[in-house]
Amino acid sequence: MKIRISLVVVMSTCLLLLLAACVPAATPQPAAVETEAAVAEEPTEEAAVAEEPTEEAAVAEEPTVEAAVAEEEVSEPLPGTSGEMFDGQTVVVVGVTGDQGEYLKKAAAAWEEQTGATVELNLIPFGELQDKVATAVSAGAFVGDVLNIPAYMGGDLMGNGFIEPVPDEVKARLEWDDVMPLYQQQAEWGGVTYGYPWDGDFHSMYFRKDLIEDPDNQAAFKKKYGYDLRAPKTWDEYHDVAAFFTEDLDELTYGDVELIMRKNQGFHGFISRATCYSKMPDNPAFFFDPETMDAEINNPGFVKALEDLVAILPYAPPDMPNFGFMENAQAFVGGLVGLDIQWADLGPMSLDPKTSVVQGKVGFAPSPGCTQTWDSRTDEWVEFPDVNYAPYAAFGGWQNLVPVNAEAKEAAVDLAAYYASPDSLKQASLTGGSGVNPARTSTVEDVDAWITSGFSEEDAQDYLGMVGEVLGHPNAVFQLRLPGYVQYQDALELAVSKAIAGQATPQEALDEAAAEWNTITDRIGRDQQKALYRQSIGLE
Amino acid sequence: MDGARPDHFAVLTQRKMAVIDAVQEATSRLTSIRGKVGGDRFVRRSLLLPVAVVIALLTTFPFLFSLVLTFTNMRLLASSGLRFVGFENWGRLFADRNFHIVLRNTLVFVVAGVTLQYVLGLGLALLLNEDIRGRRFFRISLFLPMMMSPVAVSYVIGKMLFSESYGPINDLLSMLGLPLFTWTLSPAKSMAVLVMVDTWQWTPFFILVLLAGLQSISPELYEAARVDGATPRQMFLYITFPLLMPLCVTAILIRSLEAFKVLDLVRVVTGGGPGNSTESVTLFAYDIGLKGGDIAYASTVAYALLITVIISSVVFLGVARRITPRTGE
Repeated sequence: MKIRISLVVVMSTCLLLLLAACVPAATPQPAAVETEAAVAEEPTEEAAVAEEPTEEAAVAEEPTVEAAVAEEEVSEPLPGTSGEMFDGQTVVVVGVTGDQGEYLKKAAAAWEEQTGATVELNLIPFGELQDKVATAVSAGAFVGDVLNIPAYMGGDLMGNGFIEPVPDEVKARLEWDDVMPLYQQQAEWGGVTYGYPWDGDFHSMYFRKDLIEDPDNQAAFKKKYGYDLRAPKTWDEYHDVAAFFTEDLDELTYGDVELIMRKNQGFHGFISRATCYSKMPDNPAFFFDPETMDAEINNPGFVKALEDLVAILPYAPPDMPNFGFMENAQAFVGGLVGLDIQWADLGPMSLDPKTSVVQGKVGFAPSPGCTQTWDSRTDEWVEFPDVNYAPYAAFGGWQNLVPVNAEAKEAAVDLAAYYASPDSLKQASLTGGSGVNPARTSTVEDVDAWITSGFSEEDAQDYLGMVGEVLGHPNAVFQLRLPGYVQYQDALELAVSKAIAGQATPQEALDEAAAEWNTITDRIGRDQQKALYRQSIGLE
Repeated sequence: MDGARPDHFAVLTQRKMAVIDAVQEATSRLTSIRGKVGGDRFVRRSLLLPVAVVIALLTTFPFLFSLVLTFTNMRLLASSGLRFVGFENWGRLFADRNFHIVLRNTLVFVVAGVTLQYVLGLGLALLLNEDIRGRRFFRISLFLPMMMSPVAVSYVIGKMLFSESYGPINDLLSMLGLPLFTWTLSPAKSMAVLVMVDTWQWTPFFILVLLAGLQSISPELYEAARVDGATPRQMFLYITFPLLMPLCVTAILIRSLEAFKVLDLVRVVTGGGPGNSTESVTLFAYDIGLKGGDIAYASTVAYALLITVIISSVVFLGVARRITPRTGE
């Protein structure tokens, strides 16, 4: 009994100790609630940080008022910016992983220094960039304050009201007329400017000028084909030069390399070939009939382009259908092939001694044209006495957008404007690995800057001449920008892939793709798509 | 000293008894309280409720939600509102020729890949179970592929090793004067490359599981068989294989479930090409849903894959049950 009593005492003591231990834990609860309430009353942590001067800021404030005034007079706003301070604010920039995305932080260094804000990167692999941004934006979730994304997403993002328009006063600061017309168009949707220009992408031709200018090669080519060897001006010439490079030259293994991989830029590779066969200079439409919104991709012009592509396969690396951007570029700068249809990145890459064995041996020209073009309005081929060029602004480049749910909106607008300023864009275009190609006239016209960056004068003239010719071309075809673009892209890539694998004839493959395009259009809404397509080609 | 010991034990025993009494008393009081609020079942269920809610939120809700999506027109970034479309997506699925092709591709990939992996895995497990020289080294090195990232394996093995322009395999064939292995434009060879890369990475899984199984078989069984004059072939057929069978079934099932969901390998090595002759159902659904934004149809494709996997598993388990010898038979 005695033991039982002592046990009860011990247990009671333990219980009391336990309760005692709980009491201090329970007491702070009201305090915690108070703290939460206090936090709720205060704007944000960032704002609090902004209000409370840091040690550095305090030290900076110590100097006299005169010194501060003098400093203000000396530091002018950076190009494109308002000059406003965003002390303590963090601007999240969404971009693609790798050098291209990381450059966005480097490019913002001066802006960070001047405004007191911090740029934080949210880098996403390219394959997931579109999915993540689209999923977040459509769900109203925050993904970033500035979205550095491909222009083809414009149809889905700008067209659906997820993006903040560029304020008029900001646009006025950006020397808008200096932005090339193609990229002005890319930044707009329905007459409203949403995008801040960043990168100007387009496809053009890169060729081994050393081999083309070689007198022995010229003689051998003329003997075999009956005309002079030169940088190909038409796709027929391109085919002959590729065949000559493959069959007659020991310096090269293959003649041609192009981007035709399904789910990996194959859409652009094929369209680059199809533009001159199906884009009439006096008709802005190309992908669709703007009256009916029926797909045009199975018309005889597109079919001819696909037939040409199939015909050139024997003169290309056998695994070219599985080449992505880097494999393609490596084949050219590694000296495996003599002709390449690529983005403007290949110019600087071909001159880089770290990656290229063809420095100084590369010529630049717009993609080949055609001597006959299919006019879909009259359903007949039109002969051109000269050559019909229709350069393709493939991919449409990258641009910066500020989403409506940006958390640091004013700072984001200021940063995007800074990125889009002439100086920033020129510097980005000149910086290897930035992934940025010229999008402004001033960038192309400043030959000295390119020479300073490592180009020889001849290469700089050639390269910039080609860029200017392509981007200023009146018959240029712009990247398709419609809601559901990726579905259109995949259907066409499937057709191209089937044709090059011999699973269908070019006509059969493109008929199938056109039927799929029409189904996609109907599914999304034919009237809506028609209106948007007409807008995108300037018919409305 | 000896005289004090019994007292000490007696005290301890008394105290122990007291503790037991106290616990019993507390238990009976608790039981009476439980009785008042509904008994053991109520308490157990109350304690399980939070876990059940979490599981329901994390698994059942998305599962049901995606099923509901298959009856809607949900699209990412859509300007029009969400509406109920009945069986429209399912009708589209049955009429979609591309879906039939990718389903067939997936079945070919699973059957060919898992069969090859199983045969190789069993052979290598038997080899590693023997007392061979360097056994430990081989055991460790053979498991390495399984630990690597599938994307890295796809790129290094699928794209670089088998590259027709730069790959060492074709260089070697060329040096030996043999015809080059050109596969990019051949649907069958492209599928073969995918199966080979998958086999390279996942055969170790079978080795791991089957080797563990082999090591758990009692050596006495083999001793007895040897005494009875059984040949190695008979010992494999009548001892090893039957005893490994349950493990084989489990391993094949797990690996097949994984293989049905293949995405990264196909995306990196062939992009689904040539044409769509190597595209898998998961890649097809991924592109429709996340690239194309057609979430409703992608959910329908995903559900179709789920149904296919369930049917395949049931058929496989049925067949396996028939051919697996029962214990004691």
